[in-house]
Amino acid sequence: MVQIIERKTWDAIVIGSGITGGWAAKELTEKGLETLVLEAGPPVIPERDYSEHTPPWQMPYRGLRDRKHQAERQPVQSRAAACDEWSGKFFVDDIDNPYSIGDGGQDFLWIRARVVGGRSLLWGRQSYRWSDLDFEANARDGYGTDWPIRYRDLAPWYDHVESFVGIAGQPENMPQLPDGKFLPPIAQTCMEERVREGLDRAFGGTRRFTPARVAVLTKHHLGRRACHYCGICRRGCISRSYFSSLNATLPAAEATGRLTVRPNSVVRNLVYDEQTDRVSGVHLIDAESMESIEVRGRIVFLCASTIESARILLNSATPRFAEGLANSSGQVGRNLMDHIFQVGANGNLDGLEDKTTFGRRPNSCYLPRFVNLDGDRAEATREKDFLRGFGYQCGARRGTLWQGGIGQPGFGADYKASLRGLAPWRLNFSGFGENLPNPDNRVTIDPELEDRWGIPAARITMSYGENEEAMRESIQTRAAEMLEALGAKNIRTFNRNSLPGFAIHEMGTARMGQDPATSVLNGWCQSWDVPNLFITDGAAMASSACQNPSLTYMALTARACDYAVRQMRRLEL
Amino acid sequence: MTRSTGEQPAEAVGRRRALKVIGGAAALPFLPTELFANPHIAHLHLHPQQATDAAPQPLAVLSEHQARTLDAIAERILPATDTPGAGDAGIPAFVDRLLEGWLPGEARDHLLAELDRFDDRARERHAAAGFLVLEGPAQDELLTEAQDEAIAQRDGRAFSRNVNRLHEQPFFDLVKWLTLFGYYTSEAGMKSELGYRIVPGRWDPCVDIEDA
Repeated sequence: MVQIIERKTWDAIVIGSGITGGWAAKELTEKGLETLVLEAGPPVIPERDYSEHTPPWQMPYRGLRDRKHQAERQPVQSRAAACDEWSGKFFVDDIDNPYSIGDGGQDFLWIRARVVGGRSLLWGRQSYRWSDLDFEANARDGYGTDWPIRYRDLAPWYDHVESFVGIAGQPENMPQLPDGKFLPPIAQTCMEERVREGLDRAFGGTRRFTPARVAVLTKHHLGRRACHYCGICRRGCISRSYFSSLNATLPAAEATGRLTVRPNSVVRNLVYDEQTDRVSGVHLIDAESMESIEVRGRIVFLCASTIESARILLNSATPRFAEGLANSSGQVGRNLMDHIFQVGANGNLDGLEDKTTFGRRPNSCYLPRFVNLDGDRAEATREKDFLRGFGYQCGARRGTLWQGGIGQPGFGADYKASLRGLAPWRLNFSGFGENLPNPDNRVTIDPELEDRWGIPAARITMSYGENEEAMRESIQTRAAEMLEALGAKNIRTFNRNSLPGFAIHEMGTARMGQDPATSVLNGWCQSWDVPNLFITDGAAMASSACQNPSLTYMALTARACDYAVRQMRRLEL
Repeated sequence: MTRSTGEQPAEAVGRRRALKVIGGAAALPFLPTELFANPHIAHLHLHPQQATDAAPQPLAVLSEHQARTLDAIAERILPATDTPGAGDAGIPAFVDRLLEGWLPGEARDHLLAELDRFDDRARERHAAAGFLVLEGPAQDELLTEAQDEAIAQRDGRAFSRNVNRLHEQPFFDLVKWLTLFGYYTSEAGMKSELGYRIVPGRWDPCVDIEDA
């Protein structure tokens, strides 16, 4: 029951302050809307909470993590590499934020940050456009429903967000990975330049080894400073050189004077007004006082992240929407997707023994999809064992020798000297593969489990299927064949059968579509059922492609904001 | 309890005021641009307490004698050469922290008991006050013996740093792992052996090893 009702009616309420909530806040406030951003977690103050320049020797466990705390309070979150001794504080407490696994599903790793800025503080920053190879994929093979938009609809919005974000990248003129508005790329290592030339030679330019496109500044940009190559972005960035809500969009929204951020506001449900057929507000629990509060807005942008947004809709059932708000299609919570990863191959490359690198770059390299392409390349690139495709995050680097020191017998001055220096160059290909939409992979509400604030918890039922299995084989084989073509030694394939969720690219639980009967959102990320409700996080995605999805979420958000404000001005909302 | 009518509950005014404070400029300040001219300076400015190592903490678990013994072992494993040795890496303080809050009970008991046993052997063998008063060659002899025992005990298996297996690891391997990890994460070790700079300031994708 609501205890307190805020009388003010905001022009817009944005739920979530992560990568899409931050964009919604910026776009809506810049277009004149008084906007309230609700964030479930506490504020992050860069000057206090960022720790990218705190070296291991100033950490209690020198980087070995607060093991006992993590075992007790973060058994899921601590599976993520980023949940380390420095950044672990940005991840949720698993005991306060429980979820369950549905019958027949694989274990699902739901990695979350509930703080102002959300996972934008922690993301991998790789930023790739999707193409019509992706937006036409569902229509082409019949899995999922057809996207209501095509690349031409989104292209100007990719331009728009890239121009603000600042993406370091190299144009490659490849139709499956459209070029964007790039800042100068981060140069490849000398061994990587050799790899690029070698792959171009061996595969006729079809396997392009390009510097990873990342949301990190290679020159000063809109008041933010160029990267200083300290190397561990996820701990924060005092010079605001990598893109996050906290570093870029929220300050821009703040500058309009129309932004209010309300941290510690755990959303319980949306409030639906049967009279007007509109969302009238949001019911939240104050995380600290436990008070139950209702805030009101003319439009609502749900940007809470894929699974959380589905959970909020399903927890917002009304007499008219008994199966969850905005769910007349029955698709809310369904078609949950992630990317398969932790699969690939690596090997040693001879040469350049006297060369190394200086500084710690915030990226490595990327090798775009080269299988199951479209148009006149379709025949030559068709795979018989699986649909859709994969790309590789990759790079050639040299490790330090001391890390293998425990395996070397001996001690003393000679032993110490033997640990100085660098290992040979090692080239690694780590695949990221598309996951087919499947209505049985879904989020529901657990009938019993509740979080610390008494809100019914999500139940996640998801399994990878035969297509993903076959793709994992191909990811290894194709990587190994490239290593062989380059003359690599000591080639090793790997497949750690990553659990669903672990790529932290979850999407699909409120998909866009062309038909209200089979989709939750129209081509503007607007609910078919509730016109003043927009969902622009990963939930909106109708397919998963194989590229990192955040850039596309951002473009969809900015485009939806533009549409929503135009509709409001026409008094359509 | 209020329902969602147009009535304004009394608390709401105070709540609204709180909103501006919580959500306003306090959470999202933009620092003056000149502070970013040199990120390292920005760092020192913002984290003055981190500009130098924290003052040594009193030991929580290790006795003074155990700590000095560990320090002496670490220095023999990675001695000072043209770069500092592990004796300059604060190994006892690091190990004490692990003993206090990180290692499982079994591993902690194992490490402490084996450390004492190792020191007892030094005492028996040399009728001295323990390992740390011995000359270098005598210390190395004891360490070599411990290493041989470890090799025999592992019987071809690799050292496991799995936290649940640490209590099964031979003493020499355990102390060597702690020394290596502690040294190469220390200021002395990282700066001298690894050329570590907190803020490199630039990325050079191809440099001669000697210049790195």
